Order: sequence, then C-alpha cells, then structure tokens
Amino acid sequence: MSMMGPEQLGRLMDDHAAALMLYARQWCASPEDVVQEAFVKLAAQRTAPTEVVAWLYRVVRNGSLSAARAEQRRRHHEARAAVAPIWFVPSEGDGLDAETATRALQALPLEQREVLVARLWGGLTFEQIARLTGQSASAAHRHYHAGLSALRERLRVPCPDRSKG
Amino acid sequence: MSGPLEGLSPLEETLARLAPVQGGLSRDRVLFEAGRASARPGRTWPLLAAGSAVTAAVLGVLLLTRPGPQVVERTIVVRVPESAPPPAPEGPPAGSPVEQAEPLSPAFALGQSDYLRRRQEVLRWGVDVLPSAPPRSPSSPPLTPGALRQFPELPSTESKLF
Repeated sequence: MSMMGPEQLGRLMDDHAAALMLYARQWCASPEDVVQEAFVKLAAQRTAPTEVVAWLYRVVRNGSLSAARAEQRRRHHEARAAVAPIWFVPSEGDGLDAETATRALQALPLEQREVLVARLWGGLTFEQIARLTGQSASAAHRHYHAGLSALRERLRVPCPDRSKG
Repeated sequence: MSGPLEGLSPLEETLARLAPVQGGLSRDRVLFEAGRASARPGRTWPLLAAGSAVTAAVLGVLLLTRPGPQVVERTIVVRVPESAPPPAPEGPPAGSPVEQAEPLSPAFALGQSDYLRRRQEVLRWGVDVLPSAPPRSPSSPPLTPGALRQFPELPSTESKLF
C-alpha cells in the first residue's frame, strides 16, 4: 500500500480518533499528544500498514505507556487530580450516564479495561486485540467477558436472558 | 469506529453508544503536523552539508597550523674537470739560455679550483684576504740592471715601428 493521503488520514481521524483517545486514557493523562503523534507517524510511513486501525492502536498503546512512565515520575511530588476527566460525551435521553460509565470503567483492572475499550469502541477483533496486548485470543476473550460482568454489577444492569437469544 | 459489532448484548450496545470525548485533539493541527511529517526531506543533503562544513573547518585548521618552509642547507661539491696540460715545448731554441723559473710558493701554486675559490674570496672580502708574497730566497742574487741585460732579447715590435 502506498503512502497515506490526507483524505484517508482525515477519515481515519474522524472514525477512530475519539476511541483512540479513550484507549490512551487507560494509561496516561495526556491522550491528545499520544494520538496526535500516532497519526503523524502514520502519515510519515512510506507504505501504509496493512491493518491501519490495529497499527494505530499499537502505536497509541506504546506511546501511552511511555507517557505514563513520564507522568509517573512527574506526579511523584504532585497530588492526584481531584476531579478525574469524564471519558464520554454526556448522553441525552435515557442512555447511560457518562460519568457513571467512566467511574465504572475506571474501577476495572487495566487488562479488562484495555480489552473492553479496544473491542467496544475500537472495533478490533479478539485476534487483533490479542496481538496488540501480547496475549492469546482466548485470554483476551476471557478478560473481555470478565470486565463486562464487572460492569454489569457496578451499573446494576440485569443479566440478559440467554433463553431469549 | 471500524464497523458495527454484531451479536452484542444490551449492555454492550449501551456502552458502545457512548461517544468518547474528543478532548483537546485538534483535527486541523493533526493533519498539519502529519503533512509536515510526510513532506519532511531526507537527511542526505543535511548530512552532506555537515560533512562539507567539517572538512572545510579541518582544512582551515591545517592551513593555519602548517609549519613554514624549511631552509635545508646542503653542501654541493662541484668537481671541475681539470683541463689537459698544454703540450710541453720541444725544447728551448739553441743558443738561448734556459731560464729557470722560480718555483711558486704553495700559496700561489693554486689549481684551477683553488683559483676560483680565491677569486670568490677576493670578490667577497677584498684583496686583503690574499696572503702576502713570500720573501725571495736569499740564494737568488738581487735583480740589477746588469742582470736584466743578460735576459735574452725578445723580438720587439716597437723597434720595428720606429
């Protein structure tokens, strides 16, 4: 595949930038810089990666881990932010409250959060998530369902009636 | 997102409907930075320019610290071939007294190369560098007008003129 054009890059941004930001938030407090750097790196590639979205998630993951290490050193003498940012746009109507969803997601272990975000908002397959996180697809699947069960408990959502489906 | 997920539970659908916050990510800024990154020239010319600058600096330092031309003194011996001695006269004419030339002192009995050297010294330092003439040997009689008359008469051209 040839170099990424501006239109294709803009479309990728429209479709994936917000989810990539949410993914980067799992580690670092400055996801904007990490996601921007990922897109800049993508534009600088001579040949576009085969799986562009999965490639972006991998770059964002690596960048977020690096940024988290730097933030950890910086935060050593700083107090934690009193108000954590909300990860979702407040929804109107009877949807799930953004702040509640944020709190519930933040309470999950990192390995479950990562898989949930990559699957639900990133749209990656379990095979792609497995390559991304360095685990097997079955382990990714297991983390996903464990996280989902924990969220169901926290959000007090009744378990779906499996007999219907 | 990359595509609709199929077979989701109501909770998954509810969660997936939540839109992540875009935050401070600026689309225009990202596209600008991406365009600049994609159009960034290679490093060939900067490296060549840097190499040329370093070479010029090194050459300049070498030029400034180069020692001046050294004067090498060498002694060159020039051997002048001795000219063949003139053929010896067959003999004095009959009846003419053989004049015994007085042997020259070593100071004046110079070879041709010595003559050249002496000439250079005279030209350089003056006639004072010449050694004084040796005293005449006491055995030879003083030169008197009578003794001069005893010299053989040379063919005089002046007498023929008058």
